[in-house]
Amino acid sequence: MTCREFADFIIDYLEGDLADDVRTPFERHLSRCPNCHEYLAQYRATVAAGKDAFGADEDLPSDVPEELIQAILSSRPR
Amino acid sequence: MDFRVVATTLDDATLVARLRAGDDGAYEILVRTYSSRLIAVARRILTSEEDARDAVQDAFISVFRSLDRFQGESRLSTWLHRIAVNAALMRLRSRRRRPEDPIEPLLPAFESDGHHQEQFQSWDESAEALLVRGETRAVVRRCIDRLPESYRTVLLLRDIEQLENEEAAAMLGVSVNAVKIRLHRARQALRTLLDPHFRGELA
Repeated sequence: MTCREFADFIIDYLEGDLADDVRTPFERHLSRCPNCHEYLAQYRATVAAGKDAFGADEDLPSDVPEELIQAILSSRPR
Repeated sequence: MDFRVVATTLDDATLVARLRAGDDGAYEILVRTYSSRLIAVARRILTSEEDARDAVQDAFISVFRSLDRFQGESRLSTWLHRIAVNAALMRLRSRRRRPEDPIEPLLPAFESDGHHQEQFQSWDESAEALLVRGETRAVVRRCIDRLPESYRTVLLLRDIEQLENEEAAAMLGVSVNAVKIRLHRARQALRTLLDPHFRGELA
């Protein structure tokens, strides 16, 4: 397996979707190629960072203007 | 009267039953309980507070119209979340779009023999250590904003809003396979954008 092929299979590998006949060469490549090992680690860290990016205090919802609440309520069917 | 407290004591089925009966208080509880959370969802997609508020107004109109279709198979909060995501996507599509930048410059490059052109330098702190810092989150959000829009959207729907591939595909009107490909490229591109920050040069 080349580094290019390895990169293509990362998402399926992380989701546990790789068939055995691909997972074995994937894992063999991973154990032998330090550059792809690093790339996979960074890919995982990127996914974690993305998932975390909006999870914190700074993304707390703002106060909703009363005007908007009333506008929404007035659009309800009667 | 604190509607949030009331809402937590009202289960979904009761609230929906009261909404269907046209109960004023129930409408008030629904809107006051969920609007700020739904605005946050729409703001992530639209990156504009004003657009987000408009989208949430659209979302509630659609909620009011489809109350009869809420089956109670998912939680009310999940159902509302999906409707808000959809409303934000509709507004995103209607917004005047700049031509999208190509993603290829942000993807890894390979030699003709299939090796990476780049020698990756390790990120000098563990991801966990980086994540606890608020400024790192802000950097990551800015990098997500720099992704070409069709890739940014898929990354948001899958990794942040946590929709399944199938749900994201249905909302975007593309195939499940297209969602998977775009998600993979979006993550690869985000890695490229994060690289200088996580190497510690700008952190």
